[in-house]
This record gives sequence, structure tokens and C-alpha cells, in this order.
Amino acid sequence: MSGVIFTRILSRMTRGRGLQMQALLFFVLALAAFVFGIGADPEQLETLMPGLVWAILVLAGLLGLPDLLEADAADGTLDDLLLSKISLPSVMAMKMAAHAAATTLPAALAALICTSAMSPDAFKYLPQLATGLALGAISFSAVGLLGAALTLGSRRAGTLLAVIVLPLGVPPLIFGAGAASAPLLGVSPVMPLSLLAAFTVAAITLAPFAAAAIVRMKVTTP
Amino acid sequence: MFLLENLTVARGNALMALNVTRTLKSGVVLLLEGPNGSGKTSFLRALAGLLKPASGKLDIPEFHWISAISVPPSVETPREYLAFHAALSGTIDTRKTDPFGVDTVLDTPFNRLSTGWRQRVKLTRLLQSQPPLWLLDEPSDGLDAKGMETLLSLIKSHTDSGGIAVIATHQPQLWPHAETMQFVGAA
Repeated sequence: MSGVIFTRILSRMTRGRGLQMQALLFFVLALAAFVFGIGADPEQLETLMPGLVWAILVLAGLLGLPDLLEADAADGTLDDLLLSKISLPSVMAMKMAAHAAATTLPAALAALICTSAMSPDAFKYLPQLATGLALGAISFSAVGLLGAALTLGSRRAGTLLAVIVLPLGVPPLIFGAGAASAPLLGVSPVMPLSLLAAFTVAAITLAPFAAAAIVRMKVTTP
Repeated sequence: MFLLENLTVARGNALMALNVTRTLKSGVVLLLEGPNGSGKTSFLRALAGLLKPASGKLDIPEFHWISAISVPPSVETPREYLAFHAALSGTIDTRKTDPFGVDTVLDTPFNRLSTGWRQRVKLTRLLQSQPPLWLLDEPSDGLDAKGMETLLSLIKSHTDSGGIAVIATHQPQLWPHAETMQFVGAA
């Protein structure tokens, strides 16, 4: 049963709207814009690259969020989800996983490919960057879900979403960029990666419950 | 049988239903009648647990919920839609009958189906499981004469076998022997 529900949630996000391709293209184009802006000096690029890819990943996490719950509310699916035999936190966890699969994970993949292609010394920090990006992608989807729940039914939801989600994305951004830069600075990446993992575990554990409570309250309050 | 006791339903500052006490016995069709915006849907949502009542108690059995919002014309197919809704009810789509004739359009995307056909697909959900109570919001919207006839016979066979249907409608003449509840508008 859960497989059918997850497939539908994911296909509603990707089919017809091509969210995965949007995320990939957004990442590549945004990174290219930064590189054109700061110049192609390899040394400068080397230093800035970990921070750049992380900052763009946070922004890529905003893609798909306005419709994550709003589309379901508009066509009555949200009511059906609330009344279903599957618990609402489980449904929210599926939403979070679908968002990660459709936007943040493809963007993280693009980040790895672009870094390998553009940064001559990428091999020095690629494992740390890959681990961090995988964790970060999931935690950005978790805080995104929370933002989507909080702005459900609000006017100017798009603006509110950015204001809520971007600050929540700052801790994983700092830990992740720190872990990727650590090998270049000659320090251990263990601490920032551990903090990032702790943040991710807390976010994916708590966000579905919090989002479910918020959605239920928003829908059923007269 | 289900029971509503002193049920008061409000939406924002508008009072939709005040102290409704009612017992609905098996085999009954209850029509919620009234002009647009009078609170029929809010009352139905309160019965479904989708709107918190301002006060009162309700004791209702398992139910089917069919809202008035039509299925959007997306690239999704009726087969996927019905499988999804069956999964939400914790079952799989094992309908043995197809009174609305949707089996002929199972793989046609909704964006190539008319409003009436999308409504037929939505109503086919009623056949996926057999809860004792049906909560239907404007179920006849978009249906042609044949679809309407099918809907009426489906509801009749549900109530004949002891089920209960609560229907918000602007076409009360379709159910001449039903119990009714009038909504007059927000107070």
C-alpha cells in the first residue's frame, strides 16, 4: 500500500512538471553564473567551491516546495490523506522523501559532477563533499516540508517559504561546507560531518510529526 | 446507526449549524439542502472529521468521503487514481463491477477526459470497499442522465443493504423519500 502511495506522491511532483530536470538545470546554471561572476581563477575557485555548491543546494531545496502540500489541498487529496488508514506522519515522511528524490538529491548529484569537472583538486575533498551533500539534501527536504506545512493556505506562501526555510537550512549548510573545506584547510572533517548527521537525523525524525500536526490543525480548524 | 448530539458547526465567525441532535438509522438517505454558502459542505466536513465542530458530540462509523472538488485534468490515469485511493483505504482495487463504465478509460489520462468522466472515476471509489456510511458532496455534478441513473441505483442498493448516505445536494428531487436537513445560511 505504502509503495502505491509513495509512487503517486512522487509522480505528481515529477511527471508533467519535470522537477528533477528543473533541479539539475537550476544547479548547473546557478553554479555557472557564480563562476562567470567570480572569474575562473583555479585557486580562487578551489577555495570557494565547497561553499558555493552548498549555498546553491540550499536554494535548489526551495524548488517544488510551494506545491508540495498546496496542490493536494487544492484538489482535495489532502482531505483524503487525512482520512486514510495510513498515519499522517507516515504520509508526510513520504512527501519529504519524494521531495528529496525529485529536487535535492538530483541537485546534490549535479553538485558532485560539477565539482569534479570544475575543480582540479576536487579529489581531495570529494568523499567528504559527497557524504555531506547526501545528508544535507535530505535535511533540506525535511526543513522544506516543515516550511510547506507552515505556509499551507497562506497568501504569499512563496515569500514566506523562503523566509522560513532558508534560516533553518543554515546549520546544515555551515556543517556541510565546513566538512568539504576541511581537507583543503588540513583539519579533520569528522566534527562537522557528525554535527550534520545529527541535524539530519533530528530533522527527518521530527519534521514528519511536526508537519502532520500543523497540517491537521490547519485543515480542521474552523 | 449513527448519532449527532448537540452538534454546532461554525466556519470562522459564521455559524452554520446550531445544536443539531439526530439519529440516523440504517437504510436512510439524509439530504443536506440549502443555498450556496449555507454550510452544507462544512457540516459534511464536520461529520467526516475534517472540520472541528464548535461543540457537541458525534459517533459515526467508517465511511466513504467524496468531496465536491473535481479530479483535476492531469496526466494521471484513472487506474493510478483508483489504485492510490484503494491504498489509502488500506486495500487494493478489486472491484467486481463497473457500473460507471470506467474500465474503458482506465489508461486515458485525466487531461483527456471530460468533467463527467472524471466524476464517474471519482464515484467508482464507492465500490472499492463497503463502509456503512457514505458522505457525498454534490455527487451528481457533471454526470449525464445515464451516470445519474447509475449513481441513484448505487445509492439505493447501498441503503437497501442497510447503509446510510448523507448527501449535500442542490437536486433534492432525485431522492423524493429521503430525510432532509435545511441550511438557511450563515448566522
